[in-house]
Amino acid sequence: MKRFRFSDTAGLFGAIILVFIIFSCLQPNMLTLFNIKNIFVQVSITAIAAAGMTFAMTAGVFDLSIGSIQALLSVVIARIGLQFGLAAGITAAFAVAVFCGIINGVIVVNLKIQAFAATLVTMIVIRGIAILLAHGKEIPIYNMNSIKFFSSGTILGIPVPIIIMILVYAVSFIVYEYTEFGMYMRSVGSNLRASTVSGINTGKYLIFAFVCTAVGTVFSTVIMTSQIMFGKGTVGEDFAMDVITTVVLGGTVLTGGKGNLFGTMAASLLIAVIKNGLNISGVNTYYQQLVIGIVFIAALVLNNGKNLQIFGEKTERRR
Amino acid sequence: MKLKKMAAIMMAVFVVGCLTGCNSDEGTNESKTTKEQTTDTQEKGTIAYSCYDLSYEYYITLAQGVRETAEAAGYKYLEHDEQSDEATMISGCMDLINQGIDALILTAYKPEAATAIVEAAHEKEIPVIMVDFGSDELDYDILIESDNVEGGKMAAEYAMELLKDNDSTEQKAAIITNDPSAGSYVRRDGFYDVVTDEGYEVVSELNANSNPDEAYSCMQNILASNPDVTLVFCLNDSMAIAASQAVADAGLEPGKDVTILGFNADEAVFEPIKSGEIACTIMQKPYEMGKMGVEIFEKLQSGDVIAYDDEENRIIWAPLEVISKENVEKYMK
Repeated sequence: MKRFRFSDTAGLFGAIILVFIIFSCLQPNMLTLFNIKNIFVQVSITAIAAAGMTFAMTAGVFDLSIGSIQALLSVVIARIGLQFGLAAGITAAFAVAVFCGIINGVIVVNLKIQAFAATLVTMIVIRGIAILLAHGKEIPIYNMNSIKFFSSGTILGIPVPIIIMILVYAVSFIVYEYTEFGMYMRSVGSNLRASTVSGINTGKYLIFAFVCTAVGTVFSTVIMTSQIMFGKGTVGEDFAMDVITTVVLGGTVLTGGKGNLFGTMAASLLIAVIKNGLNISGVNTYYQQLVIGIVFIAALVLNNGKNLQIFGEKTERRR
Repeated sequence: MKLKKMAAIMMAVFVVGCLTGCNSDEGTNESKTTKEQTTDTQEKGTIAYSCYDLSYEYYITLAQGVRETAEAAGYKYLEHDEQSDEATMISGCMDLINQGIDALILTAYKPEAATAIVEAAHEKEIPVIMVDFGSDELDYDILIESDNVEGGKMAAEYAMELLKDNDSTEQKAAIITNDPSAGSYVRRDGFYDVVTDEGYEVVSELNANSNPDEAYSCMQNILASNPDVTLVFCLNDSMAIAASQAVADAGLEPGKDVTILGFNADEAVFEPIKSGEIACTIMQKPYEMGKMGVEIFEKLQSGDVIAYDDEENRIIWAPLEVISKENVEKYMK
């Protein structure tokens, strides 16, 4: 089990710089401070949830339900926030997220259902609950000025979403690399049976993995809700796919055991830079998909051999 | 093993709980949305309406328009709720057709799957009047829908009137769209034509897939590439709300520095329209559409000439209304 190495992610950072230079030549406004801030704000929502997902995927599971969790949380924040204040809303969101994570985890661990199937089901159920809670409508929160802190607030000139992202990544990195928790998480992902035999409570760590993704989603949702200013049961329909794509692109192995938080961060940045660049240089939507796909393939090739072991030795066990 | 059983029982209890919860929720609507509702009137004929989904306010209003007009004209009224489901749509409409109705007014959940319905109706010589939207492949008799191009024009014209007073020098507009394959995408065309005629340059057109969170990023990107944009048209209201937040978060004043327009007249947009952050939205008139459905059927029966707005596709446009600061309070509850 090796420690973090920056070289694992060098390819991605290279790609980011390359893409950035190309777009800056095409559209000078790419390089303005305003736009660079925008890119980091845009990256924060996916990147934060992707940090949580990196834990889950390291432990060998993944969570398709986070888009639905995001919708449910946005409704919870709006509803409870309107009635009892923002702090209560966010606290409730944390509670709901932990609960959703535990439910996902218990279904996978105790009912022994594959994570794919389990979270596919909870994705539908949670989405249903979110829409029910919102009565199928938007719940506007224009009167909740306090939440604007999360979209337009700054600390030392840095927008709050960026600060939250940095904090989440700092804490995640320390936990992932330097604590027993992170070590066990990786061990559970790389070999479940061996971990069980050696006395690790693997079930507990798998449940933790789901709680991590759900809690990461809380931060993302608070930022998103503060941007769009309403809670809605249908938001985040592509969210899970975006987040999982990011994590995989960052070099975390789908079969577990090996994660790369820096890679996840870099991949989110790469995606955001491409989307932002294509948007501000006015490229047609249909070409955008094409370009994004090609850059993804390039990034995967750049990272290949070092990080990606899709056809690796660890395919015999999966949850 | 024990745990598994317990979990299974818990799941079962949860599911039952959910179901009863749903039931009690719908209980209040029960009287309105019972599958087939009959009203006794003297026999002038029967008009049946098959509705997309009666859990949406929009369609409840549409159904109300059909019912009230039909009953006032002395028809027997039958109603069917497709509940956003293809199979329910087909079976329910077939049931209606077999009951010997005189007209089928249809808001199909999936128009492309409604061919069999139209064929069965025509076999029994029942005219099919589609309301709200249709499909090119369908052989309906008449389609009544909102003119989305006209809606885009109306929004643009309102904005032109508004910006004339502001005397702004910058003439740059942007559009935040939904996916170009969606039927409502043509709203963009109406807007585009009017503003370019007025000398505006459309500097950016971004697809936010109807999502508010994507619209927020799109608006940020528009401001980054064109800081001097003055007019933004969003093809739906939730995107307009998100765009106005992005403008505010960028330190500009929505409604003053950037004029934002929406579409659909969602309830959530009324507040920002009242406060001026969003300039206007376009409201469709479901009640009018329902009413028109019955009126057109009467014309068909009496053999009157029908004035199509689009002769080739047998389309009649339903009216639209601009909702702005001046009249928004009328619609706020």
